[in-house]
Amino acid sequence: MSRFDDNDPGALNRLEDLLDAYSDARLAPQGAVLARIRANVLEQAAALSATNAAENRLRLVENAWRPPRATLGSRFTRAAFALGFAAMLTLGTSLAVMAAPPGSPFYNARVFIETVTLPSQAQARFEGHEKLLQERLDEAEAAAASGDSSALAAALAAYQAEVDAATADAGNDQDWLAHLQAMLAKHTATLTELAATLPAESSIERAIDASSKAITRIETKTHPAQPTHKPQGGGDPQSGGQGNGGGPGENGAE
Amino acid sequence: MYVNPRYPMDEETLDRLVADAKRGDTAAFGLIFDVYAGPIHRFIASRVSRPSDAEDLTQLVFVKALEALPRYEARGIPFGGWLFRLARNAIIDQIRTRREHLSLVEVTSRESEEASPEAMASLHDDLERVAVAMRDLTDDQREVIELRFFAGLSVAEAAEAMGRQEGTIRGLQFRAVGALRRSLGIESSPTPRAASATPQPVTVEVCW
Repeated sequence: MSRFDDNDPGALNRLEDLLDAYSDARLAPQGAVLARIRANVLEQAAALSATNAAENRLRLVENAWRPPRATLGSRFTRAAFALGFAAMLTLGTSLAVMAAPPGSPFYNARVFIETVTLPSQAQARFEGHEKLLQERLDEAEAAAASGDSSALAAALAAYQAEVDAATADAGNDQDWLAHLQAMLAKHTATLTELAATLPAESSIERAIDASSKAITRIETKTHPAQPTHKPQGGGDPQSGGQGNGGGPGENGAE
Repeated sequence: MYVNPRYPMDEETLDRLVADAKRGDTAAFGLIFDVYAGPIHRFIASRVSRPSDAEDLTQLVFVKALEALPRYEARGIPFGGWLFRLARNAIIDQIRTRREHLSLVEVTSRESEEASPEAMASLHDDLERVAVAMRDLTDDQREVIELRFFAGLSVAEAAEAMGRQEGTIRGLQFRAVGALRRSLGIESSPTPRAASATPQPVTVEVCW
């Protein structure tokens, strides 16, 4: 065995005794020191614990007032629901507008939409005007048949507006002007017949007047020197106050 | 189950106390303090020159432990090792801040207020020889001795505190013990030493 055998337990124990003695004599804390440290540390521990408890209570209160945080799934569901609801609302409103009868709150919106959505290509646009004029006239007849004066007034107002729009869009297209003139003449006759079945209705008189004036304007365009049509209403100053069909031109022609 | 002789508490009890302390149980933290305050103070006192610094740093370590405890997760890390790593870092910060270096001469020249003059006289020579022997160790060897013998950490705890492998700790300790024995002149006994009159820690079997 060497003098410093590493595995000699006796020697190792003696070393440990020395180290323990050194530690106990020089490094071990005094009781008063440890008590002081302990008091300070536990005071801070208590303060920290109280702070954490207060924060936890505050968090609980906040959570109680705050709605549960939405998950990704629930947010998606809500967004999809909102989009669906908006789409349904839009679709429902559109259907309500496009089916609105004269006199209903959406009727003017419907007329506006139908007018602004006419095709831009000339022939298709003329055909669209023709269709709309006929629709407005049909609506007026239906309103008259049902005795709904407000619906009749709304339909005839829309009819007058459509007459003006169709005349303006016709420009100097002779074929379309001739076609429009013939159509308006038929409409005027229909309105006149309708007026005869109804008590005094200013709206229908105005429609007849507007239609007759439109025919006159068209004749001016198609035959500038020889207007042939006389407004059927009695209020046109061009008629010379002669009443229906009593114009001097016609008399002269005869 | 390994029970460190300096800490009269088994790991299961310690784990339970740590869990309670993490939940804000001040009393549980107080018991942890009672277990580790002495060893932590010994370790710190071995590395700083002034007793007041040892007291301040010991308190600082436990306050830091208090704040860091919610983030502590065992996962194989011994609590003692974790706590002594905090202590080690606190000492390093202290030394960096004050540019203070441990003087073993200063340490050994402290007078113990508790020891009697007779005891002091009988210890003085031995302690002086220990101080000199410790001074001759490398920094790593000295730290291993401080952690293993002064603070009473297990190899695993010392390894965690120093951020080294357990094998490295065993190697450093082996060489440190050999160097100390040579410096202190502790030669091998011709016959096995009889049992000590005072009970010795069972760590001998674990340590060596």
